[in-house]
Amino acid sequence: MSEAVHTRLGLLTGLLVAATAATWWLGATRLSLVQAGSTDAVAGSALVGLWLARAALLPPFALRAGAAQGARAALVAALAFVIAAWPVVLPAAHASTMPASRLLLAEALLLGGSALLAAVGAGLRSLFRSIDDALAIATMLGIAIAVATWTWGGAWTRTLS
Amino acid sequence: MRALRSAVFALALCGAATADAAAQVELTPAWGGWSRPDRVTEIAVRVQTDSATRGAVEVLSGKQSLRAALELAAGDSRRFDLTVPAAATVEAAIALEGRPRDERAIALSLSESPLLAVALADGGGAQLTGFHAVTVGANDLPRGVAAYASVDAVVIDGTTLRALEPTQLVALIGHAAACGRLALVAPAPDAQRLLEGSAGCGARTLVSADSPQAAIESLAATLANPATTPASTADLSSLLRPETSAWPRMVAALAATFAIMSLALLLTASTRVLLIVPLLATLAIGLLLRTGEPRTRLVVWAEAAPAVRVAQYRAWQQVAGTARGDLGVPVLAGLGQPQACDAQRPVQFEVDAARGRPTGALFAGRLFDTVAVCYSGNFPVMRAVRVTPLAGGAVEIRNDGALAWPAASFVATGGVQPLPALGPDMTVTLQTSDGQPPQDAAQRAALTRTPYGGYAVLWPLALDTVTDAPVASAAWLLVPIEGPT
Repeated sequence: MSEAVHTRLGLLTGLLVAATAATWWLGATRLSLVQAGSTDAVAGSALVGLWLARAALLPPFALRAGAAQGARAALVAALAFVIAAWPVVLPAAHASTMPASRLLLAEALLLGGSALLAAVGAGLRSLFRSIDDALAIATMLGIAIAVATWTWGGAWTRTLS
Repeated sequence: MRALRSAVFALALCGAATADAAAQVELTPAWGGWSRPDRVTEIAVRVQTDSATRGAVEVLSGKQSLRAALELAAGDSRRFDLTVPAAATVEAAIALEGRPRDERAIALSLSESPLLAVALADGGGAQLTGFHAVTVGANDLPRGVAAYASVDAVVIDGTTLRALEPTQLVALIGHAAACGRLALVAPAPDAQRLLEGSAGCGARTLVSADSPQAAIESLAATLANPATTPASTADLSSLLRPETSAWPRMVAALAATFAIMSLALLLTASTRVLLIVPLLATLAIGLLLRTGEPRTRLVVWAEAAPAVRVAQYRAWQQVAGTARGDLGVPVLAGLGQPQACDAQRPVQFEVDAARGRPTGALFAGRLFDTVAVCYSGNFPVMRAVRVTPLAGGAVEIRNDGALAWPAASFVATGGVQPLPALGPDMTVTLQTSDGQPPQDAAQRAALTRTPYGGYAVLWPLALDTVTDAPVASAAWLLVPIEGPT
């Protein structure tokens, strides 16, 4: 796959994640408005869910892209994946009471993670002679990190909220 | 314990009065510092200075703060009264140019028992079973009607009445109009007429007698009449729904964003474009949030018993936030003293020290969030409605007053039907079975406020006196009528 294909795949995945989160957030917000409930808690949940979904999907995606195309292409693809959700993150942040510093830190962690994972993926590519081996190791490592992120999601969200 | 509190309080006041020879600032709570939890009280602020100065006084009580900017000429003296939620400690900060910031704490005594304020010129006390009696002087009575919420009954004699300042008298009249329990001891005939003429609830909660003991006995007799319960937010939930106009706008914006990003995915392979599109979309949504105009809505709900000359109203000024950040709400001049509707929500009121009245409220706003400023008060009205049940489920409705009514809605047995305009002494006969389910939020609210087995008449009101009312304003007057017993 070319760099452009990875970037498009990153944007598409990010778009799907963002659209799912936006649909849930706007639907739950509408219900809260009708029932005079709390819209800030709904927005906070949407932000945490959106962050956790991206944090879990980013490792396999960025590591595989790094192993397949190298660090630069993987970084661009991972960035496309992360920033595709920003059009949802921004209004959800405006609707929540989460401190802005925490939200910025969360997004910065994803951006930093993108760079780190892209570099690790590229490292695997140079470590293994076969691309297939590098891809297999990147996939397994990515899934392991994703499972760990999801498993300790509560700890992450407590740290960030 | 109470003595210790009083001593601390007295010390605080002494400290307040002697803080600075050049600029004297006094903070004095109404009712001698007594109030009740979750009620409001009043803090009088007096500032006197020998030299020209400027600055601000900020009072913090619970989650609410009030800030008054001051600009004083040499020898100026300024006094204004701040209505604040009652809290065990009210903090005040005075920052005047060229002087160190002065911070003080005013201790309030919050009574769990109902409070009886006794204002007798001879300093005598009075006791009412179940009440905690507090002896106060003329100067302890508040200047704003809202602070009467601190006490549950007031005994006042003619001498103290005469000693009241005009603003205090207006507040007392407002309290009587709001169906407050009030006992007059040997009042001057003109003062008694004035108070009885303006008293709400048919003057059932206003008594007068020649002696304090007789006044207390009459006051005790009024306790048999349950206090009128004003319409609450829960009663009017159908009218006070949160503003939802930001929601479809956000749905449209996000749908457009996703459509543009999908098109970019389909039409271009440029990584630069694929990265720039979501960033530009985020920027556009940020601009949309920042340029959104907060929507303001005013809902006024008034109620008056039939043939009573004063209607009590409550008003909710709701503003829907469009973004995160400070959300300013201008205080409406034509309504009563503003209060934050939600005591748990932080708010800062900006007070015009010259007029002693808040001019604006500042909330922490959010997207999809609605903040509200509440007002309450009364206005003169004359809707003398008489409903006579007839055979076969019919009722005769008669205008017993001297003024014609406009068309209204008649509520009975869970249904609503139109009531035509009626001139004085005119009658109309309606079948209660002709009532239809409520058609709008106001009719639904009227149903919730209609006495069980009784009737109600609902009129829409024009908000002529509130010149700065927002475009989306609506007001109603409900006259609930007890059914046959």
